Amino acid sequence: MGVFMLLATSSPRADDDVTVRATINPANVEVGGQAALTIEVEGKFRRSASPILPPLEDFDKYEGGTSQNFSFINGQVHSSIIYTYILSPKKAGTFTIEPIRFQLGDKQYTANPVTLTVIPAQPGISVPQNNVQAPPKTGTHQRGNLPGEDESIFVGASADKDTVFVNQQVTWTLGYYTDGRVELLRSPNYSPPSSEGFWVEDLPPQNKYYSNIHNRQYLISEIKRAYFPTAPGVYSIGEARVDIVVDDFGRGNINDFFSRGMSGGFGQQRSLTTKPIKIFVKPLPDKGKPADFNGAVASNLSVTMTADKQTANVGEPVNVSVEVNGTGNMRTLSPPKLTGIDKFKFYESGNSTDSFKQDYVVSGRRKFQFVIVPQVEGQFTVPPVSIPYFDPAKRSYRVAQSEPVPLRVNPGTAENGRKIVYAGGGDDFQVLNRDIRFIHTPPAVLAAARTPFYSRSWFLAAQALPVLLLAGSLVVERRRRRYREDVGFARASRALRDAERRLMEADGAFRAGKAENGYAAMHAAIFGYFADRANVPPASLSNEGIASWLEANGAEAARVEEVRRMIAACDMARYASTSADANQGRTLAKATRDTLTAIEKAIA
Amino acid sequence: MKRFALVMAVIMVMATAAAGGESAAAQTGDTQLFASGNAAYEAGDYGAAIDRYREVAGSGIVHRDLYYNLGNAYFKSGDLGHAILWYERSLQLDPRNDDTRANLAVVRAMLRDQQLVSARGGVRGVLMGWHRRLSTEESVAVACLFYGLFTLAALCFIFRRSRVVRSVYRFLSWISPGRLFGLGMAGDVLLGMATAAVLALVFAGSAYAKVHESRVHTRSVVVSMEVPVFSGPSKDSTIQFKIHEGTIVSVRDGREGWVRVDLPGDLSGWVETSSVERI
Repeated sequence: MGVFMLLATSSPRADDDVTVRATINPANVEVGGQAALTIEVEGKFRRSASPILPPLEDFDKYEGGTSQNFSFINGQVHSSIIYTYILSPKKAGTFTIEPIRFQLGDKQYTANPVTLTVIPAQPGISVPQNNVQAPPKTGTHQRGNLPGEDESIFVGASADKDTVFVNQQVTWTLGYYTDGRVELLRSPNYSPPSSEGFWVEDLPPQNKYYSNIHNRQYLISEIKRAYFPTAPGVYSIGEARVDIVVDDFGRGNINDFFSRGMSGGFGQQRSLTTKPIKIFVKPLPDKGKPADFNGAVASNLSVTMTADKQTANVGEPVNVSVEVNGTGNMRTLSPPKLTGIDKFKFYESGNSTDSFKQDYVVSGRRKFQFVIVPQVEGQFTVPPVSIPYFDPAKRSYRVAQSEPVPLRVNPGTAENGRKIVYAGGGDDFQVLNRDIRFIHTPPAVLAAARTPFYSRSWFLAAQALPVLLLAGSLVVERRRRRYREDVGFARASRALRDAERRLMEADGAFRAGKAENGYAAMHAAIFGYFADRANVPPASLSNEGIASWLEANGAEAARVEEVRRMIAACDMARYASTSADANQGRTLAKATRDTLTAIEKAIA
Repeated sequence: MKRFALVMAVIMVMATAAAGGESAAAQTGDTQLFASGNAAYEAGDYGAAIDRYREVAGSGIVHRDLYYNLGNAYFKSGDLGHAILWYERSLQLDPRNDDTRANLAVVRAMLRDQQLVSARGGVRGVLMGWHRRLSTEESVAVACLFYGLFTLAALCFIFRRSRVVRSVYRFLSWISPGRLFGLGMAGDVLLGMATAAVLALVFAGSAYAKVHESRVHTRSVVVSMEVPVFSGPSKDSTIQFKIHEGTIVSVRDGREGWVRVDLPGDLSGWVETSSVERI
């Protein structure tokens, strides 16, 4: 079932949308010349037949080949086939070629008639030939991998020179020969040769012409490239390859047909290759080589220098362009040197190259841009720019030189002419020039570099002082606040100090011989201390109360007993005046101070 | 023993006098060299002026006028890169010197890489203006001043209940902005503390940035006329763009013979060390 469907879709089928057009180019040709008759069939169909031409007895007719293109649009097949025939008229006159018919299935289509005017051949009269050009006069293409007199398609390559100087152009040509007997299913796919050791430029357009080889008319399509060798030596322009798909329908058996059809299409792929071409590259001669020669190889070199302004201010940039025109590879041209501009700042600001390929010869225009900034005022001339180059055609060195460029430099900067109008009226004030301010006189003291104060150790240490001061102040203020707000804390804090003051008073009394007063003061010191520590009135304390407070605060029993004895000694001396001995009192006062100090430390 | 001490004292006095004399003689020589540099400048011999100024600078003398004159001499000899370098060095010592700033503006207007001459505006521009207009020592001094004011205000806050502090506050409160906002004494003093702390930190930060900058020497000036900036520290690397003399760059990294430079607009690359000089 699938096979039948394939057969059905592959069979010829007419459609209403098919159009057939005929054109002839050129419409005027001389006897013996060539005109291309093109018949284009376009529309929705699967396969085509060949056009049916009227009898052309007054012409020699050659098949120029067929090209075909398929596309799928919205599931429909659109096909376009172009048939080319070369007509060479045998006699002068006006010829209308009709009818040109095209049979597609059951339907027959007729193309529009075309008219060709043939004039007698006259020496010196040139008839426009459009793309159909005369064969090249120089160079013969070296045949590639399809030699043989009966081949319908083959390729060959040639070079216009086999020995050149460094950076001299070699024009390489690929020739693609077809006699029209083979139908291509796709446009040929061309892979250029390798170009190691060369700077390469493509040379459009393609050249087409007809030539008779072994009594067979071939349409020859040529692709050209320019090769510029970069160093002396022997180099090779590699092999070029042209991949084609030829229609071999009908040559194989039915099984081949089905297998090719099922596997994606008809046609046989073939690769045509050219032979590599050796190029001998000579070094540039030393004889006559200028000292400032920078490797430029060209012919007819000319140099033009221009500036974007003739007058500028000091410090104002001036754009200078140097344009070099000539035949050759201008891309490799080095920037010229601007000399004699010591009073200018000099900058390279860029370059650009335009290439031209007139008659397959590479020429070009290379532009170098410079910026010069005048530093002083005056009348100057930018000296001529010279470019030495080697002319391979004349085999000698030459020098291309520009004209000088005059430049007037006025003083001042961009602020020249700035006016300041004063509110009070009067003449306008105008800044004429602007310069830097003058130098300073030597100072009285010239100091050597010293360590700045912020790197000295004392300065770094001093940074901690405010922190310490604030921390101490916080502690002091907190203590003061507690004194103010916590009476018990305040009394406890000063208990020992008050007791010591009283014991000093007691000691004074003992020294004065007033023993009773001394013991009274000592008693007050002991009771005052414990009253402050316990935060109670002294009158509310008893001997036992003091002992209990001491025990409650973890005092040792011996210490408690010692306090008891001191209190008892004081009471004895106070109430039995006979026992009030001043010397004993002083000893007791000292012991009391020691005991209270020990208690303070123990229960702090 | 006493005789030995006397001899030592005499030797020390003589040595000190001799050292002082040598120092004075050296200073006189430097001053004369400076003056001869000025004479060469006035005679239009800028190359000789540069040599003499540099000789003075090479002896360890650091002075804004010396650096300023060097900038002038380089400018007059057409070397904009070195002119910018020495003006910038002079500004580091005296950032508000009108002459140096004016001359720097003249030279900057002649630079080729105008798009790389930084011109900051807005708040950042104002802040950077202040940052640049103070020398490092001035920034440190101002930071210390505000640090001291902060400490004083903190002491007042701690002892705000004391009679002395209260009477001083009553005396000075008319200048305090806190009263306008209805703040009491504690709030007013806290506001003063916070203000002083912020200003101290700002100026300390400015000083730190300058000290850090001077230690790591990141700001540099292109002193070659045209410098290709490579993508890596090798001449085989891609040339990304070119910068020209006088352009200020930030040096971030270095390898043998190469430094990495950063420019405004996220531009970065490697240049040969000899093409830039650190300010």
